[in-house]
Amino acid sequence: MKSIRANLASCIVALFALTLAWMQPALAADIPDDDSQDVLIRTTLLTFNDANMTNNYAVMLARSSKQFQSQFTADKLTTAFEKFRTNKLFFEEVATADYDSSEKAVIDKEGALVLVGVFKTDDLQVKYNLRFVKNDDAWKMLGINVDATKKKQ
Amino acid sequence: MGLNMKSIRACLATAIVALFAVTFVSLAPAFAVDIPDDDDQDILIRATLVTFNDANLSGNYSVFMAKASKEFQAQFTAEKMASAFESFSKNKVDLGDVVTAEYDSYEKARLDGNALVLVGVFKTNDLEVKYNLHFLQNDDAWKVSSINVDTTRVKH
Repeated sequence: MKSIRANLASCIVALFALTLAWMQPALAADIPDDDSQDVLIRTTLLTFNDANMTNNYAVMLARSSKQFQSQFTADKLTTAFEKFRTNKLFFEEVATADYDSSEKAVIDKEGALVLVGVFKTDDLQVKYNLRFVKNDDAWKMLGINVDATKKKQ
Repeated sequence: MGLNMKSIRACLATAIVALFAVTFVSLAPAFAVDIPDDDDQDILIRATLVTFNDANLSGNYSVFMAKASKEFQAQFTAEKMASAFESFSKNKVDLGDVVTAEYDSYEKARLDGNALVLVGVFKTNDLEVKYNLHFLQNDDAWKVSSINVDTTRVKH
């Protein structure tokens, strides 16, 4: 962490659905263009944030991939993301925030689209590592790793 | 409204829904409310439309309801919303692109009593999305008190 910033509260959660052999066809998938990546990242983080703000993970689960749904329940997500709620690490600002940095999108060896980067809002630094798999021609969330850190005001 | 379509565009599917919570006398201005700055307005609009879109695409309005104002929650149930917004689900209208879309136009934010009124139009590659959103302050945060969205698919 940079010296100009104090870590008041931080929360990291990673949930990755196990990849299965039948995901291999996704290897042939093209990486979406920059605009589509941007939409995927922001909408996924907003859906995640909505779930944390309301303590209701049903919609996030419904919007995720079949692979993710098969391995996690709303109750499991409620437990996994508890620290976001207790520390009030909410970040609706990612709807419009500038990227602090981002990595080039890749399709990993398991066929998942991997999007990694950092947003800075007025109050938070939000690091994300998101994985997506194609379900019925649409990219759906397969894994989510978010590290939110409150900045000192 | 979607009935006034421009001739250069074909309406392939349109969905219009308006849900307005009835305002009570108690909502009459009892304290000064400031209009949020442009950045905060932008966040409110895009985040609200993404939550609305998630509800439509999942058929689950519980999160949208939980984020709405007390006044909205008092008058609508998740079941009522599912019924009201059925056309969005049925037509598979995906508004996700509004999170990064340019505004085609928008009106200056204003207060109607204590309600913040945000009105405008987004254009995405596939859709024209007109929105008319009202918000009330609950515990110092702006919460949706009404939503009116009109989407029109554009022909390429």
